[in-house]
Amino acid sequence: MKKRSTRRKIVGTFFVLPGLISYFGWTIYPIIKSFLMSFHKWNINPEIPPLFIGFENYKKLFQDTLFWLALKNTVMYVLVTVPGQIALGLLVALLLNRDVKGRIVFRLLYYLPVVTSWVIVSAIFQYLFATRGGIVNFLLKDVLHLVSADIRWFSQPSMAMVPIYTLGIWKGIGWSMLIFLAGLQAIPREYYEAARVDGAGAWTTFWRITMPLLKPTFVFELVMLTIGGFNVFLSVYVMTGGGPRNATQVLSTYMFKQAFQYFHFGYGAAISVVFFVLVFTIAQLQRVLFKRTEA
Amino acid sequence: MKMSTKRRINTILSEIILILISFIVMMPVILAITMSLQHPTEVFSYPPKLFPSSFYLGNFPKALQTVNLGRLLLNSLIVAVMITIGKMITGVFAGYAFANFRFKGKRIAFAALFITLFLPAETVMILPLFLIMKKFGWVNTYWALTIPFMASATNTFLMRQHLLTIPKELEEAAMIDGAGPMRYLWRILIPLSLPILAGMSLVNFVYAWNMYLWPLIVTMSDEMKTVQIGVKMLIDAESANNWGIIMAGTLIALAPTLLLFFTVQNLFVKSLVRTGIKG
Repeated sequence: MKKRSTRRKIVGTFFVLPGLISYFGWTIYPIIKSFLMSFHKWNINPEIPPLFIGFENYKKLFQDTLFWLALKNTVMYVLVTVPGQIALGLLVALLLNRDVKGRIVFRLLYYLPVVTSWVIVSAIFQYLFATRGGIVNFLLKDVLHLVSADIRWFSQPSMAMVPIYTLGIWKGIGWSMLIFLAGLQAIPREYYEAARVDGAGAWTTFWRITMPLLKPTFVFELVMLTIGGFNVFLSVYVMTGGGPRNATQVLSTYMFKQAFQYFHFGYGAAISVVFFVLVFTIAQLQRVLFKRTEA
Repeated sequence: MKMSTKRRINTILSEIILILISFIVMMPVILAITMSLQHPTEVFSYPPKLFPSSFYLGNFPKALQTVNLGRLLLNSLIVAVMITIGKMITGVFAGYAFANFRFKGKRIAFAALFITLFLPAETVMILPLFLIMKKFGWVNTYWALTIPFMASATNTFLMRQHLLTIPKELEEAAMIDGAGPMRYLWRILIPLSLPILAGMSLVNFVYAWNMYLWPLIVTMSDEMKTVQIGVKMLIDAESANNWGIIMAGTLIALAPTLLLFFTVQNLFVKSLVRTGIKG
């Protein structure tokens, strides 16, 4: 009997090893390595060993105005797109949760942007927001007459984030809707029937039953969308490249620029470590905060 | 009677709002299709057209020539298939081990796995990973494009969750009948998990197909690049902003995902709800 259980232990270890080894080798180890790299000055020439410089990279980073600008832009992106995706996703989910016709078709259409790659949708949005001949300027100027001249979306620093926000929200509605829909369908029908018997109107039912029971869904969306928002990269990289004059520079594009265009590996690693710690802390805070309000 | 009319009005109103929103959601894709079907002389016409007035197919071959999209599509296919197979194999075995076996360090390993489900790991690991690839001499090869992505915390986690729902008595019965762990996995567990396995591989494939940053960093020559990079190359090449050709290229890159999505959409949506994976 004992022999059999040791054999099973070996078999289990054998099964888990391929995944575990590659997971530690390609994920955990690089994360640790990133921390170590951030304390070194790297030379492009691989013959010259990296030089330990302590917190030098971080000191430089916290005095780097471009870093703060990138951080500000990233936070703004999260603050605009996360509520946008949650609100629109919830609206669509609530509408779809009724007995409407063609639910499957709608669900499919709303989900389409999610499976489409960021590069492709960024290319399409670059066209939509083109200064001349773009549909957005056409609508604003010639149809709605809101502006008198074409807006230069990508060369005007004050406007450049707008296409990036719009794309972020547009691409995320489908995912947000799907998660809310799953949450809504998990609410037992009897609750609504009981509320109706008690004479509660649609508004009361929504605030007293739907919203409280959707709370776990809200937190899940908040955490996942915040992490996703901080990771914004491709829409910026494709549409503006961080410009004009760094008006759309975000943390990940700035890291990419430092590491892979200037080859400041240590500095790039320091940016990614700050990024990592920041996102991890915020995600954990959101979860803890929610748990407390639930009790 | 009054109640039902009110409800009917409500439903119709919902329908109208849903159609309006879906029109806005679909608009960019519709415009991309319109654009790709327009003759270069029409592309710059003002006001921009919502629906194509002509059916010009010349943009597609031009897009294929401008950057070598055929080769890039092949690369994307190879990379996506390899990553999917790798992720499925490691995920199924590791999930099986976590669900059905006891071994040393199981709890720590599982905790580490679970945490990474909620981490922005990609941004942090990309720089060291590139240096590792350089050291291995893997830069600009299929190895670098596929091997580092063959483990999947999500697949492992989902597989474990699914296998835990299968009663343990089944395993005991199989073992009494003389089936070993491998046989039990192949003959009993895999057939019982086909829908979830199909859903997982679909999500893995689309993830790998849409990868951009890593292939960009780790490939040097044009023959090794993937189709997503091809789209960006097309944008840069068409500096005169011939949107017709660019949109034709994006549609070519998008076609495989769309085909997959529409043929198995139900499976897709189900597994996405289960995994909560974001695009």
